[in-house]
Amino acid sequence: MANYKNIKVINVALSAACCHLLGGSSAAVAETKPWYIDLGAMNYIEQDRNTGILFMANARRELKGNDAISLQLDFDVVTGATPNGATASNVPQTFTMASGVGRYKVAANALPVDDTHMDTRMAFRTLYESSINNSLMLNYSSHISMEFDYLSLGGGIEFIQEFNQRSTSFIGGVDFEYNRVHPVGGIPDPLASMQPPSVIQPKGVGGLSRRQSGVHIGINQLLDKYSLVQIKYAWSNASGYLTDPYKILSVIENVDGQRLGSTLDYVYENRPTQRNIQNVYLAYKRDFSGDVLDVSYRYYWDEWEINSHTIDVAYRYKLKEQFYIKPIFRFYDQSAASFFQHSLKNNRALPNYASADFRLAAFKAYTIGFRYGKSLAEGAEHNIGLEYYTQRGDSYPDSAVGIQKEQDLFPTLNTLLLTWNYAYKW
Amino acid sequence: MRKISILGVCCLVVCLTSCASVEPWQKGVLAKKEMQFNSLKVRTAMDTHFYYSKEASSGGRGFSGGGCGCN
Repeated sequence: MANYKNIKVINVALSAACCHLLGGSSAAVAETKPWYIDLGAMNYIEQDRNTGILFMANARRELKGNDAISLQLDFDVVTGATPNGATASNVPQTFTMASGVGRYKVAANALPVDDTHMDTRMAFRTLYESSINNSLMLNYSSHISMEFDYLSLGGGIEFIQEFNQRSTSFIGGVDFEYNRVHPVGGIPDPLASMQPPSVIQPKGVGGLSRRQSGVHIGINQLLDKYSLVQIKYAWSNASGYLTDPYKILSVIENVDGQRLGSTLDYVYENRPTQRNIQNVYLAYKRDFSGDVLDVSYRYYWDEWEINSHTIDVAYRYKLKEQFYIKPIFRFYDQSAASFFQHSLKNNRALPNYASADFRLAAFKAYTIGFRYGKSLAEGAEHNIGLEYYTQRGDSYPDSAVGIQKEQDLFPTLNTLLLTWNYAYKW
Repeated sequence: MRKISILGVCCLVVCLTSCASVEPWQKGVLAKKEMQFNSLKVRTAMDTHFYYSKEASSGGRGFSGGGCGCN
């Protein structure tokens, strides 16, 4: 009996010691894992066009007094064939490379793409979250991004004020960006004709700058135990050299005859040097017994008369053992920039601004796909995703003339996206 | 459309700020990572970068440009 009592005492003591050790051990683990690492990779494959690979790594460390610092590294490579802005023709076409010393050819009835295109980008970002008191945070951000023909430096400051028992947060901030564009071969003269290789190209200075500054305000509101909403408004102004130095337009024969609609010349595009941009953004999240519905809507409008609507819907469906599957759907609809034209006509005066960049055309885009992942201990998460993105515009516009009417002036863009994410404490 | 959007947002803000607050002990579900608006920052940043390089619009969920010369 005495022995039994002794054993019981020893058991209790051992259990207490184990608990203490385990408790101490988890605290030690927490203390020795101050970083939260968030890694991601994306591979997008456009049918007959570009392929891009993007890597991002974000590391966040909590500091004393609820402050935190985040460091982020981005690296991406894009290679393949990118549309140069010219329209397809019923005869083969030859274009001068941006450097002015070489050429590339495009077959008859094919979309003119520059298949010598390759770009790499590396960016470094910092974010310092400073806790002023229990309800006020100030976030300071900065970035530097480098491409062989582009440099961007920027920074911003944002406040988050919580009140109403942390059920409401007001957000406000300002940001500024300075960019330097120094394209291969120099900056083309606006709407000047592309010259054959080895002839002096109509290009002037080596580089120009563009600046962008903006403000944003917003509110996060908890609606009840299961749902919350976010509303944001942002305004920004971009100024300086906003033209894409590698994009051109075809000049088309517009006099009735056999050659009506054939290509006579190529000219470099030119965009306005000012662009005021605004958008409102609404997001809503709701928990349904462990599943999460995520819906958002953005309305965007700018000085170039581009208006767009974006709707995002995702549903995170909880599976067994912390696994989940998340079907996603995105719809996007934009109007054309006021100066967008698929081509210029030879018997009309040159406009001040013109671009045939498909990204400034009117189109609709759809994304459909899913993410499959697992929530792990300590906020860690691992997921993979497969998505399909398509852009559809007006392939046969009324403004096409002659042989242009037989060409697809907005070929559908089909893109496959593969993604991977892993976030964990370290 | 713009005026309606701005007016709608203003009305929504007024309605929301007058909402009853959620008590701290009722926030168990809301505190979960998947209930945060930007729970996986890198994932959001990758999406933002992709769409910024393909479309004319920017902003909303993430940063507007982020220093990319891709558009």
